[in-house]
Amino acid sequence: MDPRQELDERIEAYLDGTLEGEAARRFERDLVQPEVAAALREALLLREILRSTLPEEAPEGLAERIERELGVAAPERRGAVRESRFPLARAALGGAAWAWRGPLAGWAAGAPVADAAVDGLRPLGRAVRAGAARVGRREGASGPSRWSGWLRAIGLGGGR
Amino acid sequence: MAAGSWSEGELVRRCREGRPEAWREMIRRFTPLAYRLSARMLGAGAEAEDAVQETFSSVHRSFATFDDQRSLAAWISAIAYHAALRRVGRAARPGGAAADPDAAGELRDESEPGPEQRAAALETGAILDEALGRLAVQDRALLALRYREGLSDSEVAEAVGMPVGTVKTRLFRAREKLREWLAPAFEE
Repeated sequence: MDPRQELDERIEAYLDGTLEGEAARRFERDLVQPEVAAALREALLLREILRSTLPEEAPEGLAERIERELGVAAPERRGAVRESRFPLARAALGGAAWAWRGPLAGWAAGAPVADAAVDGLRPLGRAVRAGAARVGRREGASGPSRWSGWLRAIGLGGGR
Repeated sequence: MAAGSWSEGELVRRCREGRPEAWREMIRRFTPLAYRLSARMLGAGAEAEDAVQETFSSVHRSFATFDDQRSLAAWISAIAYHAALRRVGRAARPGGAAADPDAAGELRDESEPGPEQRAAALETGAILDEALGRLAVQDRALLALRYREGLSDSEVAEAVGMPVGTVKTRLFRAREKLREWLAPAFEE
């Protein structure tokens, strides 16, 4: 074997901790030779550089993409995908559910409503408002809203 | 017990049972390794990401063939290495100049940068990237597996399908070239 390769492999084995007993002690004795000490320093430096030059983590979203491809994505993540896919349908269903519960119409329009009724309906109202705002934004980008009459009727705006 | 604390054996057993949470854990644990290896061979970016996706499709499909006596890291490295190598081959073929992936590392523009560019490059680690880019793609993979992923010579040999002696010799030559090319940086 090439003597340089032999020294290189001894250094690698020493740094890996696989050079045992007498072989390790002999190597340590050889470190008094300047070329062996220099080779060890270079090997350590090269290892350090090679270790530090690749990213610790994969790019964001890659693992999630793989999960979806393999069909093993977590249920909540699949839910999030569904939600972003059907915003209009979700907003419309939310609105219909709200319309069924008459008292909220008064609250949304600013009329006084019994506190108990409002407390119970507030979360639903907030959800509908958020949905309506989203629909409004989306419609606003493409001209007059198909939903504006409906939204005005239920007191959530839409009067453009 | 949280998925993150499962032993490798536990993870393998649960994946064999087809549990989605086990597969998510498998992907979480080994995507960084597969990406680093692919990035070292193909360059960071979309091509490396596609190679990682291909790797996990293959891992998922062929998991029944995984031998419990082997290390998962070495097995997944082997699949990732071959997925990236196929892409190197495909990328090289249309031009016809580098059908041999050994030569693919030589395709880069090696025009010499000026002193100012050189100083800036040293700061950003670009000199090392340039030096690694001059190595054959297999040698870049060997170095990444050996030093970044901490695989032993025999695990590296298993991953890349080469005899251990060949791996040792190729690693020695790659280190020698890097020492030579990086000597100016070492001296500063």
